[in-house]
Amino acid sequence: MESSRLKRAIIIISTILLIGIMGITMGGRQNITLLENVAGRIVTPIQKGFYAIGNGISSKIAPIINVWEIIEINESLIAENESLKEELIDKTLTKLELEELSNLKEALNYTNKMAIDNYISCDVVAKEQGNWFNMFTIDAGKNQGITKNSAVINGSGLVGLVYEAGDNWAKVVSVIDNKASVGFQTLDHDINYVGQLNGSVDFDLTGYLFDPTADIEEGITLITSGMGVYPKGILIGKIAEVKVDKNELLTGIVVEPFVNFKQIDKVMVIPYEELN
Amino acid sequence: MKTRKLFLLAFVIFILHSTLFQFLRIYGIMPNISLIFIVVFSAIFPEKEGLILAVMLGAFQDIFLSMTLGINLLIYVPIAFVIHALEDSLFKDNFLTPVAFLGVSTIFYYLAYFSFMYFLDGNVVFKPYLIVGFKEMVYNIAVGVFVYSKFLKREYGFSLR
Repeated sequence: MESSRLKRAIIIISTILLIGIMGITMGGRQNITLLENVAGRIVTPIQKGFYAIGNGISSKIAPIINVWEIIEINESLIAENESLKEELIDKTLTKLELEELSNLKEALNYTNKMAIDNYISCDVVAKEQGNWFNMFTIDAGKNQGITKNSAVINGSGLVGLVYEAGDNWAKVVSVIDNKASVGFQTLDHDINYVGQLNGSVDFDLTGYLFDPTADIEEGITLITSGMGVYPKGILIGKIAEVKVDKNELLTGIVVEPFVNFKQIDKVMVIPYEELN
Repeated sequence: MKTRKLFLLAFVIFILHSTLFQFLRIYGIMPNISLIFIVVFSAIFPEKEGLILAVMLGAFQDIFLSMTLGINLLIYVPIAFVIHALEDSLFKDNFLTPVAFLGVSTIFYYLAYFSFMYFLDGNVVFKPYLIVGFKEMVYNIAVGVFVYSKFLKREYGFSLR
């Protein structure tokens, strides 16, 4: 009788304790505990090895499974290549102009950091085991200069945010799962509209433009504006839907990210710098 | 089974679940290998194997790949506890035993996870979440019944009927 009561007390206390820990650790911490750090140091290299093996196998199998789609993909790539070549000529010209401008900027002692050049490349070592969130761990951490809230990108665009960082490993949560809002601005549009996006369900981002009179259509590319935790100039995605609600002042948008969150193997991390 | 052996098994399951098995995703859905092993071990082994596995796998998953600490632990342990309590009175060789347990525990996992995240984060919507849950349940049952039958054969020498 006595022991069963004790057992029940232990169960209740540990449940309450765990719920408390859950509440405290939600949203990510600046510093993780020593235990987690040590565990990460042991587990991460092992995971890295296994992940590489899996990657190797799937890269051999994938062409066999997708053999029927390869011709189609090839054709679309040829078309894309053509259009990119044309675009490149245009861009080379604007690049020359930009160089002139940045020389001028230097001459005028105008301090403004433009290019992102201090990023850290790292590998994904493990992925979330469930089917809901897009969380993964990477093989670099505080020793490499990565801290909480560092932006994570890959070749396609904005991936997410560092959630918690250990000494040489870090947890990353994707931009679509994160409550942290993304400040954006429009690219390739006459007027630079700005606004704010939030993660949602269904693998897209929803948000609104700050300008209530904004005239905007689908298909416009968005980049980060530098407001919030993300640095300026990272590709986010394309506007998939414009929602004009007469009862609301702001124009709502749904954005389809460029990044395929299901296929992320290599990422780059831009260390978070506190603005002062 | 010895605790040391179980610890090693939990470690291997966690590593494989987060790395190699990621490539088993069908249309983005992967089975929850950790949950499958917890259910199978709780239903088959008479000692506290399932509970120990639940604590270890929950802790691993919480530390490395979870938004908060404790959420998976707090879901896996009750599942193992309830199945362990029923273990004595089970028809272990009945085909429906693993199917029912895997189905119910997947749904329980999803409902519990949703309610925790709802109160902690608020950034979750029920309907698409549940659809993913049902897809995973089917996959879990398919993989889980296979794992269950292997362990049943190994421990008791029966096959599923």
